[in-house]
Amino acid sequence: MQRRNISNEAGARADGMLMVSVLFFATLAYIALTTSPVYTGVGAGDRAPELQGEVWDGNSWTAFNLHDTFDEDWIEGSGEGTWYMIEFMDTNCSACQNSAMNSIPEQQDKWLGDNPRPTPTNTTVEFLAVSIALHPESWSYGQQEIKDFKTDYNQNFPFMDDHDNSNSEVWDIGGTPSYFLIAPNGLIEFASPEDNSKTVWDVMENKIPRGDA
Amino acid sequence: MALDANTQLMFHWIPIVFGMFLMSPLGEGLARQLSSKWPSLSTTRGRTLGGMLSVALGGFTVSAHTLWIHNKANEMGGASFCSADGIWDCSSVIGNSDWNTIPFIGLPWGVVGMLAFALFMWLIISVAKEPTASWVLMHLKVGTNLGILGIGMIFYLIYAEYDIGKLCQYCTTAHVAHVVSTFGFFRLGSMYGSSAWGIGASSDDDSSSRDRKSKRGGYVAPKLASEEE
Repeated sequence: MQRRNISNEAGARADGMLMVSVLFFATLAYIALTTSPVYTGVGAGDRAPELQGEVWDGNSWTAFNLHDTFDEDWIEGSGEGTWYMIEFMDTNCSACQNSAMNSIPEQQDKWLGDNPRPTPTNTTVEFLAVSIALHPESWSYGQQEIKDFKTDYNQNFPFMDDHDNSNSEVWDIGGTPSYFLIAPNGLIEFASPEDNSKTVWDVMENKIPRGDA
Repeated sequence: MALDANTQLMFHWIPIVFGMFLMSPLGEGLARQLSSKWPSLSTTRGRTLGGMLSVALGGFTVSAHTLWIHNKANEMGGASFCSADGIWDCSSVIGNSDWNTIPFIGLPWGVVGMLAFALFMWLIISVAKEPTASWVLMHLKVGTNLGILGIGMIFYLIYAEYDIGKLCQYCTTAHVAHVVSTFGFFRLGSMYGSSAWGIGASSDDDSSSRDRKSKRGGYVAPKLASEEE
């Protein structure tokens, strides 16, 4: 007799649990089916974090915000869009100086030069260097160093002043040079800190669509 | 015609306001009218449980909506999915990546709200179905303690709004639903064991119900609808 009564009490809890579970999982399923969240991060497939500051374009310092350039509705194969190759570098770092002497001249000619690698109409490619301070205590930093670096290595793309490391901390930069390729919708297509099996230049060649020559 | 976020929010307030009204002394008249269809509403306990269920349902739906906004904002890159009107700006709060998830765990607050209100609803439904069961007091204690814990979290989220400098109307709606539900559990706790709970009045019915159950070898449909409580 007592067992039956206990079963009946348990039945009330089981009934309630069933009702609430159906409501909970039906709601969760609806949310899962109608949204597809992409979280902000610094790995491939993540939405690029904030990147803003003053950039030196060779003539003046101007405010720049990477997110302002994104087209949220852009999808692969669709109309116009700008791909960004972001290089986090340090003007004092020898690996960055080597890169500025060797790989970058060839690549900036290929993508930004007078006779660039063809891309579809309305598809453009931009380079942005972000100058960070790896060793603020021992190395010298300042906007003049950025200007001198850009001039000395004849680099024809803008340089961002991030000597307070406000951006490099958000992007979790552990060493330089670090390269990222950002699609026009703001998603990271390649991040060298997590994948050193290929270079950003190889990824650009594969990812950025080719247009008529 | 697309509804703006503030208009959509009104739909969440409907069950919450209805539930609060039912729980208050003002709701007695309405409960009397509804008691022909839901006899349990004729008692204070039944009105409180019914009102709490309605409030918790409103809290659940608004939490789910908050999670949807959170996910949609992450899908579309922080686009505004929530009304921004002066100090009331849910986009700035739900879309703020520093504050919109539980610290260390990373779970969106909307999921936490859904889980909390789902648990509230389960506690309320099971107590409403078997108000004389041996575990009722434990359910009321769990609900009360969960409510107190949730109020602590609400203070944390109010601090987040203070830090951001904006108030989120969706979050505030969920907070109101939580506080009202917690108040309901306190009220039920003080009611439990007293004549207001109705145990004394229903003891005869209970014994006859038990007799009928034993004769029929298990559950039998109650003769009177009031026995369903």
